[in-house]
Amino acid sequence: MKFLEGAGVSRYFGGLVAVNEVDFIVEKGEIFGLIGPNGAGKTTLLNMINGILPISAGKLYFQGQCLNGLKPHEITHLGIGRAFQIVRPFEGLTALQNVMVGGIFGSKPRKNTKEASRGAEEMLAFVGLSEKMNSQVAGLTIPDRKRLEVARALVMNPKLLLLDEVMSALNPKEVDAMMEMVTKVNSQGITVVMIEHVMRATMAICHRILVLHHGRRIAMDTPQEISQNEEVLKSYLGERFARMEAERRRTID
Amino acid sequence: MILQMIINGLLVGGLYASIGVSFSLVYGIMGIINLAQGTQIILGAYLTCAMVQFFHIDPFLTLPVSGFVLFCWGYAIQRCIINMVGKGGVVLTSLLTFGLNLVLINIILLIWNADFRGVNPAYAGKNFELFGATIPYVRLAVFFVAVVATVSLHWFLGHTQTGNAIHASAQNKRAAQIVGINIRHSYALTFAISSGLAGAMGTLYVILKPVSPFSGADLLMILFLVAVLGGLGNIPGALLGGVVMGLTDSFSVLCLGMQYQKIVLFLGFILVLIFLPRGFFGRRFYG
Amino acid sequence: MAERDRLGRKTTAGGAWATRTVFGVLLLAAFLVPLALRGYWVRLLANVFMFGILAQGVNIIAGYCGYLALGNILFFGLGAYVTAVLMTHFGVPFPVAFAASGAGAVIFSAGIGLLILRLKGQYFLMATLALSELMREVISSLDITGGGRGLTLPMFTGGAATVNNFFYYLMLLLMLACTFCIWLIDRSYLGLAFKAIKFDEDAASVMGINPPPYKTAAWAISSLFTGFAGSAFAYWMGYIDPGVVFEITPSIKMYLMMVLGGAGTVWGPVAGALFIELVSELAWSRFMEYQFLIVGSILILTCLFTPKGLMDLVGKKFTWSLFTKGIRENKI
Ligand SMILES: Nc1ncnc2c1ncn2[C@@H]1O[C@H](COP(=O)(O)OP(=O)(O)O)[C@@H](O)[C@H]1O
Ligand SMILES: [Mg+2]
Repeated sequence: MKFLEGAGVSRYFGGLVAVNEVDFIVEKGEIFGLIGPNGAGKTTLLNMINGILPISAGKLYFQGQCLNGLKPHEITHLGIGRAFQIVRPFEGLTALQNVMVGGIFGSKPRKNTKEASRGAEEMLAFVGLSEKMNSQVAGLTIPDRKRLEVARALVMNPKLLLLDEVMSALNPKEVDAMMEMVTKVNSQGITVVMIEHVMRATMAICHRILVLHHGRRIAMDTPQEISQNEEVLKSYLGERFARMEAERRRTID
Repeated sequence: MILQMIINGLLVGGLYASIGVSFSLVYGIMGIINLAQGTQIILGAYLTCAMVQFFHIDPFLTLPVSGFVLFCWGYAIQRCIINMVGKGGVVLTSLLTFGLNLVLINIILLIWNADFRGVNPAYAGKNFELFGATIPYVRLAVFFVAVVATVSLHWFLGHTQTGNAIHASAQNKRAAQIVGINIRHSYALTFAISSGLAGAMGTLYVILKPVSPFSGADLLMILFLVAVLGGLGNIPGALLGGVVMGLTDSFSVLCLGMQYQKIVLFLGFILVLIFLPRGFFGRRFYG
Repeated sequence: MAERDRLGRKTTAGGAWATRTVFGVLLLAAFLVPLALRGYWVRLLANVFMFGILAQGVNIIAGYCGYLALGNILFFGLGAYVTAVLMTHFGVPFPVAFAASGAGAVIFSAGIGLLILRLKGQYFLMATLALSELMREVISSLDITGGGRGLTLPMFTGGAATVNNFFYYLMLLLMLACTFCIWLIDRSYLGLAFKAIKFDEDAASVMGINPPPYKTAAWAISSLFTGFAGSAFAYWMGYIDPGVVFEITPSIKMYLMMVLGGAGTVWGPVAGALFIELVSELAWSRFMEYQFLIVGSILILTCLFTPKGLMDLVGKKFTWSLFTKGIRENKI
């Protein structure tokens, strides 16, 4: 039984094929990267995994169970947590209340508010937001919002964590902190699927990477192989990556 | 008899379609439910009545004037008021147009009081026969004007630079601003076009039926139904929705009588929302 | 460090004392009004409380859940007619008819809600408007409801003062019950679920909330109190017809009161009802022909300048920037 498996997964928006017959397998316990240029269909793929968008064709399985046709909350209760790319905190609530929503409703049966409140505090401490616990989320900075987003997903005790560009718009130091956090989460046995444009991070912490381009899968392999894959270099990594590689060599030398 | 009903339905359907399109456009581009749209149509109707009364001109000739007046009104309203709560979400914008509707009704009441008004052109009774069905010239003319208005709007949105700018602001607000589209102006223009179309359709509506300041509520239901049937935001869909609406209208009168026409309309709308909420085409086109 | 409740909100000890005292005094005053004031004021305040119930009704579904049930007046009409029909045609005593009105409203809203609350807010908004029009048309064309002629209910027996006091306390208690209910919701997991749905329904469902049952529950509670208010109103007036119970102004006023007082707050809508009804009675009730214009304009101004309600401004220093805050936050 595979942990997470996609077979011919597709999504159409009218005439546009956003995700085109993608096959992939995520093994239990790994950090699985999902990369590709903007508009490649990465977010759409995650949206299908957690049920926000219906799957147009193909099948998705999580621990042997078919996800097609399940509602988002049912998928969440199977143990899939999600952090959004466009951070979506509940604006009128405090940071703590935001995390509590996940704490209360994220698992079945529902937790009581007291228990959830304690869990939420611990989770905010884990992501380093303890001081801002009681501030309205409208006042939080972008990095803080990203952290809150991760906390909201983690508090549901997921078996699989989906992260959508949680490192974009962060400065290098903050990226390091986030990388550390993701590895720590992973070391606790949580499988991670992460979309990331920050190649430095993806290459460093991912065990395997799936590359999408115009909705198609063009590669799925280890970071080393990906960085040498001709098609990937041509269509996505291209010059940017070559430049980075050169820089890395220079610093090593 | 059946043929007559179908023809009646089709003819009034053209008008309904146009009304639906005017509503759908604003929803599709800006995500605003304009609850004042029914009363805007009524305002156009009253303008026509007033002009016919004062200048003794043919009601069709007043169409550009009521269209233009409502166009300007719409531009001002969107630019000065609705844009100010644009980011407030559907709750705030709907409440705003809800309030606007009430203000408009009151303005009409103050100027024209609560009586029903209508126009009665000399040629109102003239008609011709086609395969045994009677076709009044007025209805035919109303149908043609409505369809021409709708089709030219569709063409305008698809083939002119302004139309493209409007589309762009629907699809991606930020990107549209980056390429130099003035989003406030685009939105105001969209609303103005919608209101202008409403004003023009008010002229046509009052040629067919007398109106009261409160008739806007019934029109609102009609345009909801047409817009939802066609898929919110979808112009060609709204055309089909209008025709279906017109047919339902004329058949419900035939089978159940005038008295139940409204009940059929409201019930039909609720059933559509339950069973066919995405309309005939199953998707929205813009926004 | 301030004390916090289970949802992490500040409950400073001193502040709580002040609030509790003011609250207790107001409550006591409300119960003593009929002893001290003339019948006119008692009737006026009973009317304020009735609007308080209606505003709280829309507060639950629109203020908390973000689902704009613009046609909520339909439950008011339903409640009024269930009571009127039961009392006139079946000789049922008022308490039973009152309970039946609430039950009828809940059955109706829950039944329809399960079907239409799967949809997103825009569709729901249109559906409730259509439902209220439908209800009005059906009532106007049925025989049992007296059609357009309306129904005359059995008289409430007793002197004028007894009648006034009875309906005063009935409306007051209903309003308090409704507000208590909202207070309970506000501090429980239900309140969190409602607000999560309001702010971002997709995100809420990804966090494990199944929105339709919650939305339906919110609408059912909303309809229960609105139906009760309609029932009490019918018995109070002694005569109802479709024009009276489905009037256009109340259905907009209750939204105005909710937004003006503060949507999604426990006491805001009640404050809004008090403010609007008192001002309307004292200031513009003589300008009947401008009624719509005034209510509509205040609603527009509220949406522009105080979308979060007047309660949000309490205790803040009044400056130009506070005045334009709503516009600055929401303008495109
Ligand atoms: N809700 C939607 N409706 C229509 N098109 C969409 C929608 N969501 C995404 N798309 C389109 O699907 C494509 C893939 O988008 P997305 O998955 O967001 O890309 P990525 O996350 O890889 O940058 C894009 O062309 C985008 O415009
Ligand atoms: Mg993306």
